[in-house]
Amino acid sequence: MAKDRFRDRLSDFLDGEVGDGEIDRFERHLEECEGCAQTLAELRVVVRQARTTVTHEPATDLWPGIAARLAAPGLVAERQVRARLAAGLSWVRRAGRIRRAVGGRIALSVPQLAAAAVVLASLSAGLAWMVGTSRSSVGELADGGYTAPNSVLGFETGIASGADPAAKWTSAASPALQSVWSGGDNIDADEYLALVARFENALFNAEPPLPPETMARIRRALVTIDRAIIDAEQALRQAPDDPYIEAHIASTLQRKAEFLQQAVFLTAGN
Amino acid sequence: MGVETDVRLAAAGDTTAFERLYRAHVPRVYGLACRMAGHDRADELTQDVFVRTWQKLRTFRGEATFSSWLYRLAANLICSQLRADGTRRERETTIGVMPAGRSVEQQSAETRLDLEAAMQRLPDRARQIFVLHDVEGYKHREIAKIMEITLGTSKSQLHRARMMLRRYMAPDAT
Repeated sequence: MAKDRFRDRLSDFLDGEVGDGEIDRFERHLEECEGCAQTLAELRVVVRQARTTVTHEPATDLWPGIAARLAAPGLVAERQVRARLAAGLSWVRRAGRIRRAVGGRIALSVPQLAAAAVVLASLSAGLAWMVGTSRSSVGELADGGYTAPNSVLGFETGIASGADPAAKWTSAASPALQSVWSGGDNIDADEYLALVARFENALFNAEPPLPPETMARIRRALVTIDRAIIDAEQALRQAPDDPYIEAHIASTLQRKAEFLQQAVFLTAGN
Repeated sequence: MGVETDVRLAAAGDTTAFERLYRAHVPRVYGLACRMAGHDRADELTQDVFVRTWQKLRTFRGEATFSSWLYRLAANLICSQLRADGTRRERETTIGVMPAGRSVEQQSAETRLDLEAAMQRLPDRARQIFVLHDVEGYKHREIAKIMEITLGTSKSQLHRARMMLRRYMAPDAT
């Protein structure tokens, strides 16, 4: 029995993962038990050999296949959208710093407001387009054409397919979302995209679903938010690096995620 | 041209620079794919890794070396693909099962395998954990995250893999 206990943990001992108090006991046992000592020696050989394994070359050159995939129209567009999202998140971070610097008081002039609106909308539009061309989507509504992604386009987001309990997403998302609008540097484009997609996934796949009229209002609101971002994009083209427009973009990004989060809360209580 | 320059160029869309990165790193990525998923799927997974790398290059912030970032992405993607492949069943061949009709002595001589061949006989999960820990040098907590398993499972499966491998490499072992 004692031998089995030691034998089952020989890898832990080998890797230095037994507690200080256990090391002496292991060493004493190994002095007395030839079988365990022999096993340990053999495990050492396995580990040593594993660390000296050689690398492999593919039998055929894989580059032509990769190059062809890189040039595929869908991937080019996806990369462009991702690049814009990465740029947008960079704005978010800077805008967060700006907001703190001005004490949260951001006054946009009417022209700025009228002009203001970027990244996330073009991102969302691009996202919707890509979902429509790559994987199944929930579908478009005549009242605004908002298409929510069922999946995240093959991006590496860790999003599970199918419906997810709303509470799970919301409880998991809050700290990360917080870092978006606090201007933290702990979230990247993929993480933000994943959060939004998770909310959308939870919202549009909720069981039971929200009443149709509520869903229609939610979709219209999302379309409005996305349009605002498109407008902001145009504004930023005219005034690159304008801190106020950047702050506006950050707020809009925040608004979209918060709105989705609240909508998911509704499904949780449905 | 340096890796940093190539990463920057590739992130900006330069496929020639990306090809240089591919050529420099494909042996290790391919090796990981072979060991994790077997030779049958290694080509496909290696291509997937580099396509994904191309997609994500702009998110690389230089906090780790490019190679560490790439290999982590490769490990994540391969594990995620294997997880998604629900139809893939646990390999039935285990080290403890010897071919019928031969004496243990004969089998010992014939089945003395090198580590690479022995690894391919391990059950999927034990093999993947062994590759990540002992070949690639990941810690248990990293493996637990990548494979979405508990720390205890990572440790127990690693021990299982090592014990099986030792029997293959030294068939007289008990």
